[in-house]
Amino acid sequence: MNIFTKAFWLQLSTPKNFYPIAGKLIPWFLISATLLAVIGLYYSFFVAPVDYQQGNSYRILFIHVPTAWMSMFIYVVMCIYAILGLVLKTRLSDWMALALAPTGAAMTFLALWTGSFWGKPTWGTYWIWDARLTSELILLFLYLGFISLNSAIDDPRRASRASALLALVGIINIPIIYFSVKWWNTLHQGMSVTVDKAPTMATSMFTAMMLLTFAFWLYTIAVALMRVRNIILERESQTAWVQDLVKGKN
Amino acid sequence: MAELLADKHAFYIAMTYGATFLYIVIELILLTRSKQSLLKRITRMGRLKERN
Amino acid sequence: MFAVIRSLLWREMTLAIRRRAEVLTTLFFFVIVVSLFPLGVGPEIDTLREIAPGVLWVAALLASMLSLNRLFADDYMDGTLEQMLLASQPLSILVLTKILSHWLLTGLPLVLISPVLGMQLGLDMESLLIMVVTLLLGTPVLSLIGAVGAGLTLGVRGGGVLLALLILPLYVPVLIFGSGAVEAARTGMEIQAHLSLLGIFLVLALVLAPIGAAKALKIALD
Repeated sequence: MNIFTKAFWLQLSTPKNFYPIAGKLIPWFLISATLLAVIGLYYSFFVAPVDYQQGNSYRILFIHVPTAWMSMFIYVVMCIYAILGLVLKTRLSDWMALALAPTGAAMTFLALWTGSFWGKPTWGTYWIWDARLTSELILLFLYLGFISLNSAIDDPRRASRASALLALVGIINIPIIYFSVKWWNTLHQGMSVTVDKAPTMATSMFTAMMLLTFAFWLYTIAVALMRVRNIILERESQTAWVQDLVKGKN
Repeated sequence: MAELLADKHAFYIAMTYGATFLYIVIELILLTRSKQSLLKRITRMGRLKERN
Repeated sequence: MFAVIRSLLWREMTLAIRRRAEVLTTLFFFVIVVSLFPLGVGPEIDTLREIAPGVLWVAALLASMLSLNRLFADDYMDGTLEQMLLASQPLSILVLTKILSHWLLTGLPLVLISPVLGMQLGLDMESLLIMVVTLLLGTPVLSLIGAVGAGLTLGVRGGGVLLALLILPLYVPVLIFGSGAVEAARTGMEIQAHLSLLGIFLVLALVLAPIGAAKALKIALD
């Protein structure tokens, strides 16, 4: 089959075809996420040296930075699916956006949680109303708003279109979070990893952070696929192919 | 490892890694369980339809 | 087009005069919320002066949100909204007119009464003036952003609470820079940057919010 034709992708994006493919992919994503996480954890605890300023507490950043990156990245991906759903009217895109939202909210929560446990030994406080912390908290509210609006509207088409629009309005927050440490003089430290410069930290620390970031990324894909499979089952429960699938399993 | 456990920041590190691990385990369990209950419900609906 | 805008604005004003109570409720809500703070925090005038900018802005935010779920609800119920959708004028212009009348009926009265409340909280003349200016720039933004939320939650069960959850996070920048300007004026610091940012918010919201709200209404009526 030619993978460069539009027909191929349309075929793939029908729930009936997507369901088994996603099912086959999930174990691979989970396994590779676990592998990367194990290597990353080894690096973060045994290879990366103790920071001369922060002591061992800086090891929290190996979780904090990947979750914070993922919290923003998932929101952008969610918006891309939302746009696809609005423009192409493909139900699977709406469902992918819906499947990503809970994991995105969890990543945002984890970024705040780990950040506050890093802040306590480093700054002496669990929480401050700094620009980056506040905008990350707003991101959490945006995710929760997306999920609640989606579940409050009964008609599924209207629900996904309305929440897609809400997600697009909220995307204005992403650059605010990302650049907040540049725009305001805040307590939160600046970016130590940027695209145009070499990272300002030891190579082993950078390796650990990258490994764990990719582990979280693969994990997010796996979980989103699991959740979208559940959504497909729920929404398509009346169709013949789901009935056949269930019969075949029992 | 022992040195790390005796570190004065061990509590903060444990809270971070512990919470993350817990979240991953809970999310995976919840997703598997909701899939099973969905499958069960759809099977029951299918049987009801056949009987009628 | 201007004739349509004028007649729509006229209709909104006539309706509001017929239902005076609704406009007054928002205003009373604002006054009561602000007056609760001296009772809760204590009548210490120095403390009150310190929290005054935040109190007035939060109260204005809540008051303007309170009336939002009525923004399109009546027109949705009696079918006016469907007629607007079919009108030859773009829906976003009609929505902008609705938002303008919402601001005239809820935002503007708050701005006008805020100096009196600010004085009760011990703000000096200059801070009061800055506060009126920030509220004049900021409350239209609240109405504009709120309209998108009102469109999204139109006819949804539990719409009122959901509306608050959706739009309060989006109100945060306005709150920060609005109360920040009054706070800066009170402590004798530079306020130019705060006011310019509020101005930028207003321009952006004026351009984008009517389009967003119109899209939300189209989704709701689909």
